Amino acid sequence: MVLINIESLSDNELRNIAQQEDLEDWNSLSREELIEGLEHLYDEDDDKSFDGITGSSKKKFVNTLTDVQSDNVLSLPGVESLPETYNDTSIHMILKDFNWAYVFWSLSSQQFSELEESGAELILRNTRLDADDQKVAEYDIDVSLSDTNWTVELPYPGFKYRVSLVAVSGGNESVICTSTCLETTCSWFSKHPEELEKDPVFRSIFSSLIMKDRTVIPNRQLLDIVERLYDGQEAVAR
Amino acid sequence: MKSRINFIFNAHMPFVRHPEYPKFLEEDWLYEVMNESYLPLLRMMYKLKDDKVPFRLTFSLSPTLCSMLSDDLLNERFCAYLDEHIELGDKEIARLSDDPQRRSLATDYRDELIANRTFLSENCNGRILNAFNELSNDGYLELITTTATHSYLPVFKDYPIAVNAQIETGVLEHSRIFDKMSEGFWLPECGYYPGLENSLKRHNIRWISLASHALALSPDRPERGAYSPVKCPNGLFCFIRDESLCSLVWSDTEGYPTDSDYRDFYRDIGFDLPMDYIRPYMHEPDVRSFTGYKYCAVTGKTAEKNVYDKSKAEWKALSHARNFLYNISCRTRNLLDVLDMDPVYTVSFDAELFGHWWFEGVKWLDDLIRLVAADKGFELITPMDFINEKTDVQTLRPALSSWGVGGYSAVWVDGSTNAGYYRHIFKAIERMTELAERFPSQKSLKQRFLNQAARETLLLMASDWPFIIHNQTNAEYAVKRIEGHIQNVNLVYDNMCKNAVNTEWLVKAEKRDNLFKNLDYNIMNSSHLEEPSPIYTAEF
Repeated sequence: MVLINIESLSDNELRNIAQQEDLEDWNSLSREELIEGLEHLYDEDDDKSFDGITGSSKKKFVNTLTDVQSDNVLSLPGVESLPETYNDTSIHMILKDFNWAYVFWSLSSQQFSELEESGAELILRNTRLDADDQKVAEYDIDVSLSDTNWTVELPYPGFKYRVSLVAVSGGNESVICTSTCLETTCSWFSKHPEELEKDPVFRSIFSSLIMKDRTVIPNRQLLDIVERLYDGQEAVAR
Repeated sequence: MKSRINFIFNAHMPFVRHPEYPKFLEEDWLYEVMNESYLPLLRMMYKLKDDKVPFRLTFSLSPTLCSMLSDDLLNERFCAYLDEHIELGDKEIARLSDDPQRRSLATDYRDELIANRTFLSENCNGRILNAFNELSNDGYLELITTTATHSYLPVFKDYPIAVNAQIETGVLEHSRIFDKMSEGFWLPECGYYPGLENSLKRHNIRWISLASHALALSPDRPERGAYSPVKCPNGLFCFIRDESLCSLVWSDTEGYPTDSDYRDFYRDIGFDLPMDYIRPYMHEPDVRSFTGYKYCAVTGKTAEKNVYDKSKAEWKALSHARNFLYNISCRTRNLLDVLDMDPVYTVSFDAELFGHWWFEGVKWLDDLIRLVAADKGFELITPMDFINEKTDVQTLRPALSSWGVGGYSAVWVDGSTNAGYYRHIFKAIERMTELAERFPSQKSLKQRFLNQAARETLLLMASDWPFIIHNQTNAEYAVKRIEGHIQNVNLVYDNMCKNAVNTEWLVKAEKRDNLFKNLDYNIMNSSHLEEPSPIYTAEF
């Protein structure tokens, strides 16, 4: 996508977007104030939604001042709004990044009531496994009964991870639900950093990863490899 | 050494079709890219063919896009869109009688609309897909498919039945529409996870394209970098995207399209002229939108824009085409002593970048193809050209990867704006699977009811909705779509559990979401994965 610089928008467009975004006093703000306000707003969004890599989000400032026209499915008989829960107990883990995963879970109403009545504490347990599914390490995160999701770190590449929701009561633990395993990989070059010092390797493997502005593509794992052996600038200059 | 360039264009639009409204804002997404990208690209390629300029390109045409391009209602509305904008052009030409520079641009835009309309009726028989098919049959294009609804597959890794349904529906739709198998498969957002190749192999897919770090971060040592395709252990070919070359074009800060002489996308009379004048071409109630009549150059980060100078921009497009090839030839020179074969440069883009977002992109591509044809140091190839040469390539396990920001899934599962929907999406998949297993081989009304639920499940899995929500552009519409499809699956589930069919809903849903006519809901039955694929016929 080709992105737009907010400074190049007309005053009308800026006002329209500000109105759409519910920017306070949008109607009386100057051009500079509108830009500042919108940039602040979008920066906040970026901070919320982006972790780790510096780079541009693919945000487009497009005017959509419409009250969305859509078939009102709710007006049909037998259709209800989205359920808050599906009355089941389960936990899922989705890989967001090479070492971060989004975890979400739900508890059946019966399970929820039992936990509430027992006063048990809840733990989100992240277990690291080797290739043979043997436990290597684990760490716990305290969560509350009202929590439903968490972002967890998978700190060591090349291992499998799974998360479990565990109830702790009177010193006893009981596993409520466990996710499927997520497998992370460790790159060959991470295991063989000495290979990177060979110039042909850089030319044949990494030259296609250097962007027009002479930086490595914004991928944390790649940056780690490059930074580990070179000063980043030196690697780019080769 | 010869530089071999493998261009792959991903043409995709989410399924947006609202017959319940006479005019619908989000349907304009389709009409804009039909008018500004697909038809200009096709006209450019037909001209190359007429001029006997050889070229080989690959286009992925998503099943949702194909459904819309084949749809009578949307095609009728597109013709009305063209007529309406031609009328606006006439109005603009009259309005700008004292402004020769803008008047000339308005005339060009109107004439382009007329040329598109003529091409559509004379060369496409009213359907854009006919022209793509003809260019493919004539040996200029390799046409491939992608997942049914452009679903980003890594997030659905735990649901192999849903992943298969996306792939199988894409392959079946392609063969139904083009009467030939798709040998390549575009992975939406270049989203790959280890093991996905096995789902693709089931459908006789020969090749995919991956982001470059899929190779650089492989657990195996890559031998030739991105400059040669590799094979997965199961024999699937992988063409590795050259991020460096792609960044020459596709960068919001330094790419060619940001050049100050190029036309500014956002400055459009739909937003700049008084509503009283522009109202007939807008959406009710007085909702401003793009018209395509744009008179400003990018200029810089300023509200004061220069008037667009077409000849200057065309000269710049030629310079940028030369620059692109210059960069490739420099790279090839650098690879002389480290590569034992002609390098293959895989460059892939969204097709809508050309013409729609980057107005001069079509001209750039035309110039580039003509330059390549005149220079023996370059060659355009498609992945199947390479595969058919039976060149020996390395077998390697690609790494998890996508072309999204950061290189993984953080755009589609961002932890704040869109991630919360996955609990509902996963549940909808589980419910659809449960329905397919509890009620296999239904007939008549129940069959239609379940088929519609399967369509809704596939639509729910589209990558577009979380992407739009993440970017906060038209997010309200995307939220509405996700929630609507979830509600639809839940409705069928609740009804079927009561042994009922909500016919009022069914009739409306079939009319609105009318894609994948041959979809069989049994595709979501997990036993389906144990059956041989109905299209798995050729040798792999």
